[in-house]
Amino acid sequence: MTNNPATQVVAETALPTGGGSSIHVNDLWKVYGPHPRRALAEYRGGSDTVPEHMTAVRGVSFDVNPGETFVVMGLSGSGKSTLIRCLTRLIEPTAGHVDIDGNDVLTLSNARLADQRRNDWAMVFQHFGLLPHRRVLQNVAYGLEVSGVAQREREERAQQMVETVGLSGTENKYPNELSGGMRQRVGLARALVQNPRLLLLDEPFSALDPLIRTDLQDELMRLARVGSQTSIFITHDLTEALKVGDRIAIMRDGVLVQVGTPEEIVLRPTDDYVRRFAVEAPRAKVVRAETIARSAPEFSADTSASAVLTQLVQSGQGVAIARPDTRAPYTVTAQDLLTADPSERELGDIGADTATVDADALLTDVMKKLIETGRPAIVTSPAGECLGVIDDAATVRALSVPASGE
Amino acid sequence: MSELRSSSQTITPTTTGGDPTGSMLRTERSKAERERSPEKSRTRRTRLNSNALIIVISLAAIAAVLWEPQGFPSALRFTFGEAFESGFTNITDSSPWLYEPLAGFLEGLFRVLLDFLNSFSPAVLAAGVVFALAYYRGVKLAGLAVILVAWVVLSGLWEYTVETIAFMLVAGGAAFILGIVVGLIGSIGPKTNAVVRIALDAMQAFPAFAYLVPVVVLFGLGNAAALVVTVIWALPPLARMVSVGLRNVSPDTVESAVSLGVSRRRLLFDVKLPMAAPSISAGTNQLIMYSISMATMAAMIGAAGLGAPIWSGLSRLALGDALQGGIALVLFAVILDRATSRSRGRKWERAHGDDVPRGIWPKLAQFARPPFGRAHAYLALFLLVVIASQTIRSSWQYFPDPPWGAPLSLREPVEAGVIWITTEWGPFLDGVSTGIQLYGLNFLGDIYSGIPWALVVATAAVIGILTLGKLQGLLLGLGVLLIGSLGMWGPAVETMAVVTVALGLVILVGFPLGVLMALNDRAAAVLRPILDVMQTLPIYLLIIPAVMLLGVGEVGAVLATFIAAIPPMIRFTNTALREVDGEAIEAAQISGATSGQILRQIRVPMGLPTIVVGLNQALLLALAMAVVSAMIGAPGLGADILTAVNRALLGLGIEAGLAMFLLAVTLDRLFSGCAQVVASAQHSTTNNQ
Repeated sequence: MTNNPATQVVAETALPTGGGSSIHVNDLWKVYGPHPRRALAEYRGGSDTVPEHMTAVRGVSFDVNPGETFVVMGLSGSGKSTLIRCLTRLIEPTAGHVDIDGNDVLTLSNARLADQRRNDWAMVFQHFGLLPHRRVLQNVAYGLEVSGVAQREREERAQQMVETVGLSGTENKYPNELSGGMRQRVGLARALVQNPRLLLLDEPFSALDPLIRTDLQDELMRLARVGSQTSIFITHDLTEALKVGDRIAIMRDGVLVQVGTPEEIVLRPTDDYVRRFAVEAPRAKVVRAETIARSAPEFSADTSASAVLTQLVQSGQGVAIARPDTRAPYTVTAQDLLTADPSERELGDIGADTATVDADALLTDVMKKLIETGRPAIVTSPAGECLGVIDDAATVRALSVPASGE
Repeated sequence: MSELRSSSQTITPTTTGGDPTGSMLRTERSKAERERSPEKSRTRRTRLNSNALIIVISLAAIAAVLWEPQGFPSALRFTFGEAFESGFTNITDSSPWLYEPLAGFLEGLFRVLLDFLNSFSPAVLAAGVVFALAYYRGVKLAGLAVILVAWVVLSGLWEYTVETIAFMLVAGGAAFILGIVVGLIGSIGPKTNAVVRIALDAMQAFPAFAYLVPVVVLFGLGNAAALVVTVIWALPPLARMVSVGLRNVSPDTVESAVSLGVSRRRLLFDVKLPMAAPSISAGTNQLIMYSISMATMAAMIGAAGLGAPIWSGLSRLALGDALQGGIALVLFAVILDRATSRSRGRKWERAHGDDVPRGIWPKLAQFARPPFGRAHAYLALFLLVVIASQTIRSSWQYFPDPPWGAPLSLREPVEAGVIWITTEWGPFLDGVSTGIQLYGLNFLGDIYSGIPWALVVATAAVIGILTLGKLQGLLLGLGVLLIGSLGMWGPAVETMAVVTVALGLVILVGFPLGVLMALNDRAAAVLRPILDVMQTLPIYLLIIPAVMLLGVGEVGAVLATFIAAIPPMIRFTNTALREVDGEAIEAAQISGATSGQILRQIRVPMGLPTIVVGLNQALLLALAMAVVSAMIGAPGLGADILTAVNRALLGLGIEAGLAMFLLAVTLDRLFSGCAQVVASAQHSTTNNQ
């Protein structure tokens, strides 16, 4: 698990810098059956089922911002794999609009489509989709070979990418000789070596063991952060979705049920279906400090302790913020005031070591600080403004799962 | 979010090295590879040894070439045929009780069944078959049966058809019982399985044609001999499937039954046999197709049935007659195949599965109650036919003769057609024919006969040692040497010329067709039923179109061999290209590969092992057909076997048959050895390092 600095340097230079795609998808449909167009009219007219036909994608619309990691989560059969393939026309959609970087993908000529695929798009597959008759290096270089890159250049670039994903030394092996985790690293390298603006990942880690999966998720997030490509990530695992996604779309029976940030999905599920996933979510890794910060009365440091105590008792609150002139604000609890030495007449004399956390900090980190300092923490905005306090009670409330129907 | 990301910046190549999926990888490896792996380590240890062996073989080959450059030396000949013949006749003369009762029994059984079937009015028999098919296997197949009956009646072949039915019942029934018994013996344990497997391999690799000779010597011409040959030929596939099916029953199920205290007998009947049922029924289908193929060929030694008019038509070169019988036989074979393949039976069971009562009386009771369905309609129609055939005792009561008296004959139209073909297409066909003769057969024949025999033996041994290991390599060399020792070197070379030319054509035509079939669904929809019928046909029938187009002779034989061998090539190419991992293709598509690139870089390389299997199948079929096409003038081993059959020359027959057997086995082993190396060279570096 040691960080090899040399590898890191290579990594930074080999990664794409072309910027990410922006995607607009509007009312996308995929209908299977003998007469998809006729059936589509019926579906749009409001009928739920049409005999002999089935829908994989039903009028899906969403936008993805450049550089974003957009996760589509759903159970098997929910149409998510079809959706991702419709975006690049690996499957031809029945109707709708897909706009990637200002191109109307569904009307692109075959030549333009091939061009886009060669230069701008790449995909990672659940079962890796490697070519068993080619060695690792040739697998990684395959996309470049198709694009007509000269052999020497493509092997150099492939070599760099192989090192970037941590596969040095396996260049001349065949995929069958690698473990599952390593195979998927080859898959990742093959996708990234083309310097894509859009990276599609179809359940890339589902076939891997839990520990390897975590490693590769971290790896992917590192690569995504260094490169600037847009990613669309398919998964059936909410924990994975919450970990890698900037935004998450929950898909069910071909329809997007909810689109939102991980926190929105977990804290404000729109219906029972989403709620059933949300209940299982590791909340401490999703909820941000800002969300649970509560306002507390602020007092200047020269306010008398007894006055503060009186006000806390009257308002029913347990924490106040003291703002001394000379140092950072700190929290004072009712207990502090009660147990304080009676000789200390002003807040400024109590003086305590209070933790300060960012608005975006996750609950796990906040909890660590609470335990370290033993007192409520102050939440500050990026501008340094005080947004409120978090105490033990607030964290417990945030972690406890509300009963369904709430 | 961003904070979380920055906290995990590690590359962990070392942890993935110990990935537990590695063990999965190992179990996924093909069985063949696993079997080879201990061998591989052994060859590494003894590499020097096998290199030395190869040098010794090469030196021996050079010495042998210097000693006798042309032709197989007579010093290495031994007269196996004569010895076998005298030994065989000794036994048969001294102990007729060994085989005469069997012959009598089979012949008697056949007669009884034939008389029984003929005791029905033909209309009743035909209607019974048609309505039973309609009920159990669907209206389409019944329609096919109606066409068959109509064709047979119009052609005046009714009696032959009934004979074929009786013949198939006896041969199929006997082969079924024996096949199950042999399969059961094979499933007892690894030792019995090895013995049974070797026996079955030998039975199948020995050319079917060559069985005829000793059997004729024993039983004389006639139905008894034909029945014995058919049973021997049709038994192996069923026995194999039974034994495989029984051994593949899930060990969990067997364990759970044993832990319940089930006796061995009940274990077999309650658990193993029912679970092996799919494979037994697939084997039964194979058995029936094999028996009809052999039943046709056995017409040469006097078997009754549809084979007889075909054989007599071919031997008189009355192609119309042969074609007429051939069409009837094709229909018969297709109907039998469809009727005995399992998938159709399943559909029926599912449709009727739930509410079918158990036992005969409850079933009858339910049948008598409304609602009345298709079964009742068919029964009513059948009864109507029975009554009609009894009351209208005019020309239709006995209808094997068509209503207008003289049967339809294809002889004249076919002869006119052949004449038309030879006049209209003559120059073209002549060109093709001379091309094949000059640049194919003569050219290859010259090359083949120019190669010193010792070089061939040494090459076979060296390739065998390199691909399959020392023991097998030496055995292969010995096998090739034995062909010469049997005095069959010349004929074997002639056969190889025919087979090579036919295989070359198979690759040239079959591979593109397979690609077309894989890429174009419409082409696949057209080709698939044609291939189905071609593979259902007894290969013997494929001679007819070959003779019609190119006439009797070596080139016609090449064409017949080509037609027989091409279906597996097309079929396997198609499957190989279609079944390539979908994600690999999508990965290429998303990289922007054109469909041509995907075909060349992904589909063909990934499908190559399967395509090679198809080619191997084509090779075996071509060898089988090269023997059969001796009937239209193919030279080589087949011609010798044919002579032996016609003149009951046991010695010659057994020598030529053995040579054919050795040729097929060595070629098959060498081919699959090379194929293994090709396949494993693609997938692992161990061979290259």
